[in-house]
Amino acid sequence: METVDLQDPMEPLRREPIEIRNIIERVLKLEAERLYQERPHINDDVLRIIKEAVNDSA
Amino acid sequence: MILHELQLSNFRQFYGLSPAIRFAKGASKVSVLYGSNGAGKTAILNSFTWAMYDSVSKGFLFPDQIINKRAVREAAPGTTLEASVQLKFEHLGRTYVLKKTVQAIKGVDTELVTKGEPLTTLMWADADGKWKSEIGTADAIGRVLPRDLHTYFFFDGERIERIVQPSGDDQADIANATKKLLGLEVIERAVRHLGAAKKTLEKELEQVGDDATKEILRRKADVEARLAKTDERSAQAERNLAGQRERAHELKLRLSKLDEVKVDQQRRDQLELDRDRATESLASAKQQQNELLSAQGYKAFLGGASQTFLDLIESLRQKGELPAGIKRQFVDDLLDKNLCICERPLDAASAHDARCAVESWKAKAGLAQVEEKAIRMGGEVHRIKIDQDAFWEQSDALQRRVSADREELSRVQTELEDIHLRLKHSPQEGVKELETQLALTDEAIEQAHQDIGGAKGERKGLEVELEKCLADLRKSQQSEARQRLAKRRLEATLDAITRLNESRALYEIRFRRTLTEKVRSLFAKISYTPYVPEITETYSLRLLESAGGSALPVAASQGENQILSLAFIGAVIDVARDFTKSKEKLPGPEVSTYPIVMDSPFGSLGSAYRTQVAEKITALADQVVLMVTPTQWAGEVATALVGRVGKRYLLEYCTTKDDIPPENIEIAGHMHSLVVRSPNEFEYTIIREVQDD
Repeated sequence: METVDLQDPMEPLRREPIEIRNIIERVLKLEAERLYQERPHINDDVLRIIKEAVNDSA
Repeated sequence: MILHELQLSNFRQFYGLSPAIRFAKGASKVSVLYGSNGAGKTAILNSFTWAMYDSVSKGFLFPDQIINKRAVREAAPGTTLEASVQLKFEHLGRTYVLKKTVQAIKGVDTELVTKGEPLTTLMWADADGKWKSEIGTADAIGRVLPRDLHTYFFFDGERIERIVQPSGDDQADIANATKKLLGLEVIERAVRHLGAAKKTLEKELEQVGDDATKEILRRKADVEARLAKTDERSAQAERNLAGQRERAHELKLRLSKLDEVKVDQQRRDQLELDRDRATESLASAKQQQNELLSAQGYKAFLGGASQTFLDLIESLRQKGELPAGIKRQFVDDLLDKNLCICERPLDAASAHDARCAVESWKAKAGLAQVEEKAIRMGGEVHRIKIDQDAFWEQSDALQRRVSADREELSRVQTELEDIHLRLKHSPQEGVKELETQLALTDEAIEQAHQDIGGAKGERKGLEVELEKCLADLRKSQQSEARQRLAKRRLEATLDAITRLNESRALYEIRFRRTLTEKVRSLFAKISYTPYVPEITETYSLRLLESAGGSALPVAASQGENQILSLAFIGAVIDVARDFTKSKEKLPGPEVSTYPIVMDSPFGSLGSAYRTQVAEKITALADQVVLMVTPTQWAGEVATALVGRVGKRYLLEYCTTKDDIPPENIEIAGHMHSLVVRSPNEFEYTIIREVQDD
């Protein structure tokens, strides 16, 4: 319990590589924006975020 | 969210347009609405939730009783009646005015016919004071305070224990609402939606397919190895050729030095030069023949077509159709002018035949274009004829050269053969031997040539095969790149899900622990029981009692459960507010100011509990609205909240009954009646602000 306590809950979200961090940050932001909706239809947007974050140039 | 004012119109007990209830803010953040039972305290609580979320508490009769009864009775049949709730509030620097209106038409008797669904409008203004209308009202309200959180902020104190003892659905709602307020809902949704994206990506990966690049690479390596072998064979043949040529040259040199055959050998040298020249000439002639055929060969087949054309033109001439001698434009002009070349009018009724005759010239005139083309083509056809002759001449000349070269070659070959036979059968052993060796060398040279030619042909085939391998490889590698990308995306999604779950678990532990500590501390301050609250994994609450070293759930009383619920609400608000300000904040509701609107907040609590609840809970919220009866207020609650009350309103109930039991409230030394005799035959409530002295 004590060791868990020391771990920052944001740490797994901030960890490298940047493309995963990018996906997490953008998806969380999108979810927060649509939090007021009971069932937001955002599957396509989430997919787009993943594809933009992980692309040929990466 | 900061509440500014609430104004009711014909809403339930409140007849006509009531004065606006302005809520206290800042240091004295408590607003108190005093009312006896039935005066409309619950109606006010419901006016908030009805306007904001179209939600009312259980047992609150709706919607047919929403419009004030006095207003209904007073209206003439056919009149449109209206009830409304208008709420003004502030959120993140923006001022909002929410208004919900319901309309109905009065029928005969007191029957009401509603006019469709209630209408909700939401206007907002920034600091510039310009008002704008919001289209998605529910969404905008949801952004201010999410719908499923409202049970924490607008609640009936007498039923508050339901947070502790919820029914199945309520339990899930409360857990969700808590998670939403703390920001965990954002992570949960992200995990859910990334899971859906993962499935889509898996399908995409299947579609990209599995191309056997390795197999193509193996094929390519095989072709390359065969090419290398062929090249090696070809190089070997070249070396053999060079060696044998050297050898032949040496043998010939030795023969030319022998007196007996010197002449023959010299002649042979000359013949060989002739042979090479004739071979070269023959190759060149054949090459020219090929070029002539591919460039001009078609001319050989044009004779028939040219003749057909010339015959056709000739037949037209014989029929007198060529030359046409008249232009179509000229005939058209005559017809336009309605005048023949002979000055005869063509428009009169009697001139029909004449007009037809002129019109028939149009067909002949059409041939003028044919004639023009025929003249031009005549020249072309003539040139083709000349070209054809030239082609045949060139072709014949080349053919003659080929024949001559062949004859020359044949002659040289025969003579060479004769020399060879002579030397081969020479009585001199030395000559014979040299000639035999020379013949063998020539055979080896021939073999080397064959080997080189064979290797060249094989190389061509292999090059085609290699090109195909490379094309396949490019295609496969493109497909592989897509596949790799799809895999990377899938892996990234899985990684993101894992991390979010990891983070959620850490947050849950942290939140539950902080919440538990907070609830325990609040509960301990309010309750004098030794029970200890616990928050389960599903965010439901229970009280535990330590017995012999282990903690066992307690069958708590209604009062204890109410305290527990209030402590929970207070703790959730407190933890959420702290968290909103912390650097570990997840994206989520930006609310950091929370109002609490409580109806009968002290329910069935005893006096000691009331003091504690009043002190502790009101201290947690940023703004508090209390609806109380004199009994709920008097004494310890009033004392506990001294100095915190900023606004006071009376809900003065007008009754038609004569024998009214006195229901008064004393505020700052003044007595106020909460129930008065109605001056008419209607029962209704009047809202009055209590002015401070």
